[in-house]
Amino acid sequence: MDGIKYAVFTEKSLRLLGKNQYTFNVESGFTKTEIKHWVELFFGVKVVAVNSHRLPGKGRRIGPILGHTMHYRRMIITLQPGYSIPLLDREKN
Amino acid sequence: MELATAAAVVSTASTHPGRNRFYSSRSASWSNCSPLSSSRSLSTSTSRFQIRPLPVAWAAVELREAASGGGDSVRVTETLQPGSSVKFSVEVPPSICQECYETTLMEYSKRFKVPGFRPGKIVPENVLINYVGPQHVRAATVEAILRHTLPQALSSVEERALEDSVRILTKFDDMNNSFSLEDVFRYDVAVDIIPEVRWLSEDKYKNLKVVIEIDEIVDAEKAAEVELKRRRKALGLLRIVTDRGLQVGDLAVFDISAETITTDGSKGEKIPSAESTGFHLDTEENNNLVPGFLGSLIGIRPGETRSFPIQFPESFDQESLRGVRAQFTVVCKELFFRQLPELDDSLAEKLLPGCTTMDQVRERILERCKEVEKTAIEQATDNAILDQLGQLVEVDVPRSLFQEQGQMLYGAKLLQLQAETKLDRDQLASLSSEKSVQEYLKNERENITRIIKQMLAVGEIFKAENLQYSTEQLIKEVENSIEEFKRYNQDYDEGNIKQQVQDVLEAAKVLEWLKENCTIEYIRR
Repeated sequence: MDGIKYAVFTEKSLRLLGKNQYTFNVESGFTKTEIKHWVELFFGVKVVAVNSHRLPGKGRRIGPILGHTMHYRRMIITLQPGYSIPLLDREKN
Repeated sequence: MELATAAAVVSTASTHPGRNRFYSSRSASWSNCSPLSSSRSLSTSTSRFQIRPLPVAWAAVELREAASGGGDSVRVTETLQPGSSVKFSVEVPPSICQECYETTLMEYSKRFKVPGFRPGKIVPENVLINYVGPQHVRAATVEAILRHTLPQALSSVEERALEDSVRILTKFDDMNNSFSLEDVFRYDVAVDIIPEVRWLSEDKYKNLKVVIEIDEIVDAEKAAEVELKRRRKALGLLRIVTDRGLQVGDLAVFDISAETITTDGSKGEKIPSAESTGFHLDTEENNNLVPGFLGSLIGIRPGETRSFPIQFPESFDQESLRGVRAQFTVVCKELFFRQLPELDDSLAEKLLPGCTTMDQVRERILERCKEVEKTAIEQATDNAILDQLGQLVEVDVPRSLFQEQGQMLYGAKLLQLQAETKLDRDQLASLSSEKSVQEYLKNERENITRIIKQMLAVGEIFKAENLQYSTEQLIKEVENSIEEFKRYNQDYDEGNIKQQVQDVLEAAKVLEWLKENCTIEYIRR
């Protein structure tokens, strides 16, 4: 589960849980198919669809040095009805 | 003591307006959120909130419980302890813990803005706990439980409990660690109650017998004579003695030095406190001299030097000199004798302005001395009665009362000290530190206990005898003391002053009553 950083808990993500859609933050380089493959393998579920978007990255600057915070891609994974993922307790806010 | 929880919940909500917000109709509405929220709980507790009734249903359940009077209740075990304190072992059932836990979460959800959730939106419990920190939630819940259950636990002694004397015996850390939503929550709390006054004798304070010893100095007639003599002496003239040695009645100027004598006869160290140059000695008033000192000096002529040994008596004022043998060397510098004026009417005006005859002077002085005597005797009587009272009662003095009284006494002492010797800020701070106060309390333990005993005894008598003081008197006294406070530009609390004045008036009344109703015997020393 290298690519998947953590599950996201926001108002929207909680709402989507009701529709059997799970939200994760994923490292930028991964593609939808890779993630789909991983999730199916890891949790033993059937993925119907994967939607994704890039999170707006934030620049960081300490004096002359320019940098940026970690850029994530957010994946919203829709599971086939009847499947579910036990969400871990880890929460990053 | 058994109290119905549900009933208590309702009553708390109505009697503590400040806590009402916890019980608003919204209180449970957020809890019926997504199934996700039930997947987590506090890290130490394993309980989960799976089925949550809707707000309306919740309220209904609460009401039903209240109506039936059933449900869990706070279990309190009372144990009496020495020092007039009562120990309560409180057991809080899980249901109340749960309730407090929810109110705490409610508070938190209002206070914090959790990222990803708009303000006012319902945040799932686990998200919130994670955001705030489980330890914080636990600590706050324990606090809420204490706040909720303490009034209930202490309700049995509500009338008798002393103000600010509640001590929670269980350490907060222990409570924090032992807290769990499923288990009964236990803690110990102690409270000081108004001590019971026990009279040692059957007939209590009645038939009180007080013996008062009165010093000779306060005896008016003698005092008047002494006063007259002193005034006459002040008017007298001093003449130099040339043709004879020192006699009793003369005034002499000496240079005195003293050395201790060691056992082998050799001279020892000098005694600085016994040395003086130009010492004025009035041989008529020799009451504070070392015995034998004057006798060795009789007949000394001006310019003469005398050296003689003296043994300090065991009862000498100065402790370091008691029982010391010393060699005194005295040089007589000058010698005077007094020429006292004749006591007749012409002297009256000088003795006491405004008088024309000697008799008048005597009368006036006597009158004044009598006043002094009267107040002195009154004072002595009051003290003696109070002392007697303090011995008659037995009181288990509670710690908080002791502390309070001790601190008050210490404060008064500090104030006095400050007024006398203009302490600067640092000195005052060091004197009013916790340590020095504790030291004082330790040293003055008996004294403070005695005062408390007297106070309580006086209060008891005041009640038992149905004594009254007039409201006018009270108002007047209060006004007086407020004026005094204003004069010194000090802050004051009117309620406090009123309480104090009441105490003072009470004490005065009781003393008056006691004086009338007990046998007082005066002994002159």
